[in-house]
Amino acid sequence: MARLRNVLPTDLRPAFRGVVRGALTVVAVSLLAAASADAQAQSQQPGRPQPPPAPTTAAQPAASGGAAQPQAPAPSKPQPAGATKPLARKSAPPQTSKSWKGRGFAVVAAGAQVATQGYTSTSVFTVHAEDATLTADASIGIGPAFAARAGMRVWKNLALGGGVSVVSASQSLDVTGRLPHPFQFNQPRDVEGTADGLERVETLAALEVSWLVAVSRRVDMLVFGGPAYLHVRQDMATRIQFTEAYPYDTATYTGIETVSMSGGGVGVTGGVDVAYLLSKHLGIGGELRYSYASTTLTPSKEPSTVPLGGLQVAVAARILF
Amino acid sequence: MRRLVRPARRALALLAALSAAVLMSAHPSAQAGPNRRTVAAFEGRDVRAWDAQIARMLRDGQLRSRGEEADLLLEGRSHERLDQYHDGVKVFGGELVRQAHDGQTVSVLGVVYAGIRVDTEPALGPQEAAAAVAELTGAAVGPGLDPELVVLPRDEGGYVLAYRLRVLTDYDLEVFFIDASSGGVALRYSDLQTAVGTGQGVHSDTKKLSTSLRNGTNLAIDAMRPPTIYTYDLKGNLSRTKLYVSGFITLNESDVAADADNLWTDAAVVDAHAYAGWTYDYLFKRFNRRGLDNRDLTMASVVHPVRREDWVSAPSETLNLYYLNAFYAGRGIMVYGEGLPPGATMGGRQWNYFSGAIDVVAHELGHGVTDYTSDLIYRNESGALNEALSDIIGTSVEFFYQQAGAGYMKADYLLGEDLTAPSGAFRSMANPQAYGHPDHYSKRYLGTEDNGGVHRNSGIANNAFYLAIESGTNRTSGLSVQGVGAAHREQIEKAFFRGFTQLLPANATFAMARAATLQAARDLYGSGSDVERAIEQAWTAVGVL
Repeated sequence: MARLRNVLPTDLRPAFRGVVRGALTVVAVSLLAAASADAQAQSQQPGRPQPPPAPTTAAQPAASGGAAQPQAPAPSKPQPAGATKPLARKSAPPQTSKSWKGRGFAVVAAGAQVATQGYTSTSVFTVHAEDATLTADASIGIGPAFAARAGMRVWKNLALGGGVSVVSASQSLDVTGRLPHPFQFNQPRDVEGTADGLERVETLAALEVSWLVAVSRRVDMLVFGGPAYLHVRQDMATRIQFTEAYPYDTATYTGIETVSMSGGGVGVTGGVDVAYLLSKHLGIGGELRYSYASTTLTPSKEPSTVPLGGLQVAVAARILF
Repeated sequence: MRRLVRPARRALALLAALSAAVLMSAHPSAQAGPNRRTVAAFEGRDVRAWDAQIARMLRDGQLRSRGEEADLLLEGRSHERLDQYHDGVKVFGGELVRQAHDGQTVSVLGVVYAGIRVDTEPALGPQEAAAAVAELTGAAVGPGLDPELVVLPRDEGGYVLAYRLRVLTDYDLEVFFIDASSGGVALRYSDLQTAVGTGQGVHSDTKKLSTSLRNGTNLAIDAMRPPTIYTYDLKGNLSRTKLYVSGFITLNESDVAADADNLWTDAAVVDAHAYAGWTYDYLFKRFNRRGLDNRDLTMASVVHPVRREDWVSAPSETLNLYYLNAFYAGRGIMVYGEGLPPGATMGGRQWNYFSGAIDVVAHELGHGVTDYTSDLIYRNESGALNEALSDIIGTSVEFFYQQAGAGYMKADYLLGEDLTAPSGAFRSMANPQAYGHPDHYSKRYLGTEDNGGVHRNSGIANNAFYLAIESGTNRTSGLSVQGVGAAHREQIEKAFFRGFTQLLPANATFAMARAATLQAARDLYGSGSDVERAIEQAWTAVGVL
């Protein structure tokens, strides 16, 4: 898999963060819209005073497909000024989500992995005929995430399916090291420094169970979860680069050497996908996903446990069929 | 006006000459001898008078400055060595050491000779002098060893014009003074500055070695330290060893100890190479000194000068020098004895490679430091001080790298205890009497053996050094000393090193060593400091007043 980091240049990352914020905004707006639609619907219940419907000049097209929706009665006489239009008249909801009748769904999402657990790695290498150690505390930056999911309804609102995602992020390392003295055993020099821009690409493949939850007539939510296999290919620090001069009692950190390593582990994933239904077959919204697994990578002698996954936020498009 | 000025100048000159004469003959800090005058000026008035005297002697050509060197431990201080000359010829042992602070003289210490009446036109040339030595000893003198024309003060009084040269003979490294008129020997003494050794072994400890890779082979060439440090493996070729030490040949990379995989197994090479570097490091870290000459002089260690298996048939002088000894041969060259084959004993002990004891290696390199600093003459009291300084450096290096304790690879106040099995030593700084050496000035050896007892009387200064650090009671005087404690040993090391290397003249005495180390302590740690008190008590305890 090509590294997405290469697809998204560094200077576009702020813009990408904007996309993430946008995704969150879409989720929030969807939920607000759903709440507003529900309020409208409740206001049209019998026995409660109703505002007179607005006059129409043309018949509204019937909603395509799905169950027939109750239409607002045609006006019989002019309405007083200031009366509001009944929202439900403009278009019928694509389908009632309380009882999902479709065969399945597919979702594509683009966003970011906003929270990824860091890790600590230790590397042992040889300097001046003695073991040197490197300890790196890695923090993972926010990186672009692309995901796709699909599911087939198997019972009521329950669907079975799967999903994949790809995340590319850069790592920053806080490095500490102990470098042996060239002339004496057991007289290490301590060094510390940082390293940025190490690459990391994480992929996920999951079997997912999804449950469609109707939030309102136009907004519904897929809650999903299941086992996942997460794989990572990332740079790991192997050696410290340094300078030294006589009497060699100190050394100066100048950087690190890295190796690209990969590994994977089975874990879990789960999340929610909220969509505003633009039509019976298309919705847009946002998705939150959290995944976790771990793997063991051994850059040099010492194995390191590397957590995988994290919290993804994305804007998503849903296709219903 | 001129009539007045001229008599006034004469009067001043006369006054100055009288003052100098009074200072040189009756000054409380000066010891007068028939010809030799010891100078020890540390107080303002004395110092100013000697400053003026030095200026006059410089003008008259009686003194020549060898140059100034910055103090390694005190910023702003400098030390100037001034050699005495007579009619353009250096007076052997005549030297003043002037310490200055920002250009102002702080102290003057040294020896000057008076009443010299010697014709400085030699009847012999330097090559004739070298030939005379060659005829006397059977040793050849290489072109690298130029005889130096000097005025030699004689022990029995008077002076003689002589050539001085240091020659490696079959069994010794000797200094000869050849009378420049008659070709006879005016003076000779051994300059074999050795640990006089005993030695046990190269222990099975693992050390790091700085080596150089050349054409796929690792050579014992340390290029990581500022001076290049070579360890030569002469593979038992004694004649080649002698040619090298005598200055006839230079060694090349084919003589350097080598190892294919850089996992060195030749213990003699490992220890010689590692300990030479460690000693350089100690001098640098402790005293800011850059090697033997403070200019990163190349250091060369020679191991395997003979073959162990030949020891039974080796002449006694070869056995004593190249099997059971180690010596500093000048010009940064150390030669380490081969020891005896496993199972062979001498004096009831097995003897291992002489490079296997860190105090022995540092001791020999200490002689190199002395060579390039005070150059303490290797006989009588100055020779004992020379040996003491090497013991002090050897022991200090040992404490710098090893844990205090008893036994192999432990730091202690014994010299050479790591060389033999069962473990023995050849000197003790804590208890010189245990090895038959004096621990008090009143018991000093006054005979002529051992260059006037340089390896025996060193016990006096050694014991002072020990007491100033560790506290204790001198066994002869019964006087107790409150030392600074092992945790502060660095202070005593610095005071002794500075005093011995930078303040003492070549012809120093024990009394001058006391004055120099006390002055160093005051300069470094202030008057009335614990260090000054400890050193003063220590010298007093060993009878040096």
